[in-house]
Amino acid sequence: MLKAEDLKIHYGHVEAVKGISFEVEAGEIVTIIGSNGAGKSSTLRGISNIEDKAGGKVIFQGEDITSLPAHEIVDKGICHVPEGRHIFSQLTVEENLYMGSYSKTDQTKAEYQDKLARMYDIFPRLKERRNQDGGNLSGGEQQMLAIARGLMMDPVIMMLDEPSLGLAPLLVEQIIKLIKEINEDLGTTILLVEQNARKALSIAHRGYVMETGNIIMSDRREKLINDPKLAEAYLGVG
Amino acid sequence: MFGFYLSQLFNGITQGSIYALMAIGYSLIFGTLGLVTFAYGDIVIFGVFVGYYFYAVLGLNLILAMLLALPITFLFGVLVEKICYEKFRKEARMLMLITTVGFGIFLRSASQIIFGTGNKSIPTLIEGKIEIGNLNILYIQLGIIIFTLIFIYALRYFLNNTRTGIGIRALSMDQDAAKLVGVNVDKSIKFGHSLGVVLGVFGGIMLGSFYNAISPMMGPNLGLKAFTAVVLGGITSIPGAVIGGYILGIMENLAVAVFSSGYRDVVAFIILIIVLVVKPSGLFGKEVKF
Ligand SMILES: Nc1ncnc2c1ncn2[C@@H]1O[C@H](COP(=O)(O)OP(=O)(O)OP(=O)(O)O)[C@@H](O)[C@H]1O
Ligand SMILES: [Mg+2]
Repeated sequence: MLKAEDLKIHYGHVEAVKGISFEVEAGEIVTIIGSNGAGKSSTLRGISNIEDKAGGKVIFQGEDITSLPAHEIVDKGICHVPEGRHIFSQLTVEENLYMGSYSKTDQTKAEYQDKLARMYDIFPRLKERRNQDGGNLSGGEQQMLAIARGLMMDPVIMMLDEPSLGLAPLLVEQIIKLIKEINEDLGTTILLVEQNARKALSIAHRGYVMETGNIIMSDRREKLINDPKLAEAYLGVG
Repeated sequence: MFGFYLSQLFNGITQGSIYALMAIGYSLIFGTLGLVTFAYGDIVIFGVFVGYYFYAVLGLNLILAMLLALPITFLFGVLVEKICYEKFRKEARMLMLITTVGFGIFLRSASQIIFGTGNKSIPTLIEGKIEIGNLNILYIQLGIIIFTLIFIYALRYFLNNTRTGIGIRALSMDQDAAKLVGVNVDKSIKFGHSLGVVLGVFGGIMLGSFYNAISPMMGPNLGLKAFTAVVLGGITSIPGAVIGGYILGIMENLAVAVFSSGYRDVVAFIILIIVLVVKPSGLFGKEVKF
């Protein structure tokens, strides 16, 4: 469904992504794991075209979307929940959700209200705080809001960049479970970028391992979990 | 004596309305581009001259000429955005700042060539006055105050209740996030910028009509007033810009009443310096970096 071929992202002389290729099939949860500075975020930013690519191709549902402007990539059904949440801090929670449906110009008011109600069902906490500024929410609530905002666009594929970053263990558990539910109940394909390899692999079907701009390993989840090298480097021994 | 101060106060409110209009335009531009501009006053005056040209040279009806100037300056705003900002989005922000300085100088010089260097007179848009005791209130003053309030509320509605408006607020907070929810950031920036220009030009038309005179040389001074008003109010805050505009207008006219008309323009500088030293975030703004 989503295919990257020989993707390259450079920042001046820094080659953050050095020509990687990977693929996500419809219905899958695929994870890209790797430590600090591996180039995971750059990869996602390149796909959604908020970062210029130095080379390579991105194919989505058979269509070349390499150089589509960011807002048209959203129109295709690709949702990118960025690292650090990027909530609109001075918009209210509800306005943030409204912004999630920005690209849905053909949606009726009733459909919008319906979807909003569904989000509030899934995230009761957001409903309680609907009139507060996004910037006043806690980290966990902001992550919920970022995901809910993404869901408002009815994405075909959701790319999540380190949704567990900076959250308490209990919340991490909750978010990971939520991502699995989004995949299973809504049928949304997931590309999950994580440093927390153990958590990511607990729900992913397949995974890619990135290191300094390259993909150094890719396999099914069972294989990755049991790989001794990986266990040492990313999963923590024991 | 009391009547004199009262009428100066009323002049101040009128002038403040004009500054408020220019300041919300400025604030909108700052919000969408995230950057101060030094060409604002010159762009505003150029816009007023477009209206003047329709009136004085092409002989159109005064009000029609000025109304016609607004959509044209909207398009002009798009052009300005293309020249001063679009190409430099990914460059150092200082670059855009300098292009606005250069563009302002260019526009001022071009206006002098096209429209002449001297003062041009614009008749009052609405003639007549009412007298309450010994206080004279001109219809144009009432018109300015009422139109300003209408514009403020219309802008508020636009920014809080329309898709494009909320999108502009969103992108002013986080451009990447705005792109990721599908905002055509380039188009929205142009829209926000042009809307700011139109608000400023409308303020400029009111000013020209109140004082019956415009000149291409007024640009930098007007830009300074708008800048002072938004800095005073807190540069990203639209209500702040309104209040800043009114405070500036009233203070200026009280200074004129107490001292002499020569002191008018000093007020803005004094306010600007005090605010920047004492509370750079202004009355209602949050801390921002210029
Ligand atoms: N805007 C930028 N300018 C210059 N270098 C950058 C920029 N963004 C990222 N880099 C560099 O590119 C490399 C890859 O960064 P990236 O953010 O993609 O890594 P990451 O895998 O997402 O890391 P993390 O897990 O810490 O989020 C790093 O060396 C980083 O320093
Ligand atoms: Mg990252």
